[in-house]
Amino acid sequence: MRKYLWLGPAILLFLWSILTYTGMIRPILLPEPHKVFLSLINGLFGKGELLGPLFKTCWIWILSFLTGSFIGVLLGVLAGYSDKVYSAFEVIIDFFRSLPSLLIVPIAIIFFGIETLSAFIIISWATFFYIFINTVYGVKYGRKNYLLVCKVLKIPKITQFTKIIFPSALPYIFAGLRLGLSVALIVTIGVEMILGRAGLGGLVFDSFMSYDVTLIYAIIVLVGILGYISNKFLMNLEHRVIHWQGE
Amino acid sequence: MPEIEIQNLSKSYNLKERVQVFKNFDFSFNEKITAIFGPNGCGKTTLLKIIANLIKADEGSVKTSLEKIRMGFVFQSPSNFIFPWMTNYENLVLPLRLDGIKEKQIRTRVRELFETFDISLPMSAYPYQISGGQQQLLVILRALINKPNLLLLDEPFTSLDYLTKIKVMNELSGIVRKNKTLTILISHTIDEAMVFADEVVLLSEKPIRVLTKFKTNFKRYDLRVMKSKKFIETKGKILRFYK
Repeated sequence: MRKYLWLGPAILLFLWSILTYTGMIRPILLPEPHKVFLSLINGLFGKGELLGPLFKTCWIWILSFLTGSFIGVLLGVLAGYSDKVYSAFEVIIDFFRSLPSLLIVPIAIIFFGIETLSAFIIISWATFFYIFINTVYGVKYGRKNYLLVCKVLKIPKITQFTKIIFPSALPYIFAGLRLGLSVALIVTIGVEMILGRAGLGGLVFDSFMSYDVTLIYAIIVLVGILGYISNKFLMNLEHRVIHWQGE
Repeated sequence: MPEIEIQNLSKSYNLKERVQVFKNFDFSFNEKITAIFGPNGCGKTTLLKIIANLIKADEGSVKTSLEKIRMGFVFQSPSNFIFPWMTNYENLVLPLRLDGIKEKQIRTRVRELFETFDISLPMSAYPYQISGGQQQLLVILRALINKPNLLLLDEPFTSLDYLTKIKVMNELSGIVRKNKTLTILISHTIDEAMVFADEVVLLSEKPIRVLTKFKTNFKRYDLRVMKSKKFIETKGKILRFYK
């Protein structure tokens, strides 16, 4: 089925070409594909005006994602393992996870200013909940039958945790990581637009202010490629680490 | 003292309505190998799990004659009870590694086990790479590898093909008799129960009570035994209780 992978992008490109080269949509609204791709190539390999923002976006995105993931897995494991911890924090967790992460932008600005630290905290916060919730469920529900074996074999608690409970939660954790990675990218771009940070989001906002629509589309394509590659990378890692999943 | 003595056992579940599985249930397991035979969903697995201390009874007690219990348990649906991130070998030898046995001795024990059962399993493969029957074999072997003194078998032969089933059942029966392992088998096949155990216990619907129990002395699963007059008569007597 992988041989049909090109079909979706080809159809999209075809429709885009029809709409723009025939003049059905004005270039000020949607530029022709070749102009967008030229702008993208020029931005990356020519003048290089996309390289700096790309680096800044990737840096804050990955760092915040890793931080949110680390804390999410750590606390998720604790809350999933202990019913007492989970029930003590259940209300708070459900309250905060329902809040759109961009809602905390003003609070972050009040506390930390329009600085990188604000962006870092908002993105980590958004990532944290997806990974935390998935880890909790993984640890809580992925182990039921396995715990019976642990009881029969009298496996010590620490070995139970490292050899049985954590591996059994990995499929859930990876589902959370994939979701968290996409959400982190979305929030990164959003936060950069709001904070006027010098990343791809900030550049989109600047391009919007100067009516450089071609560059906006070039950035959209670039962010899409970034999301696609990162997701593929995580999927590959997932197949290697949890090779038993889906078998 | 009986091998296992159950006194005044009560257990109920709160499903859509309250389901009473045991109500003041008393029973003594007097033989080394006992087979339990009863209708679907009557609570046989619950009984085994209570004996194994995997679930708590609401009331009552379970006492055994064993001083220090080393348990082997073969659960129903074996694929749910093997660890898919471990190789078949790692799954098999887990009880020995937990006991801190040296790798050389572990390998010897694995070889012995395979020779006894005259079978082989792809040890470097993962559980999802072998068939359901092989997974069941793996679980049976894991339950035996640390020479348990209490062996609980919950329909352990269901996924095995006919010939493997006969071979495994006969070898298993030989091993538990030789090692004097206290064994309880749950089976839905009366022939299996009769040839494997020294005593067959027939249970009723919920709340469980013992309908009757029969001593058996067939010990091997082969055609000669199963065609014998004694076997057919005993089977007839047992099955009459469900008419």
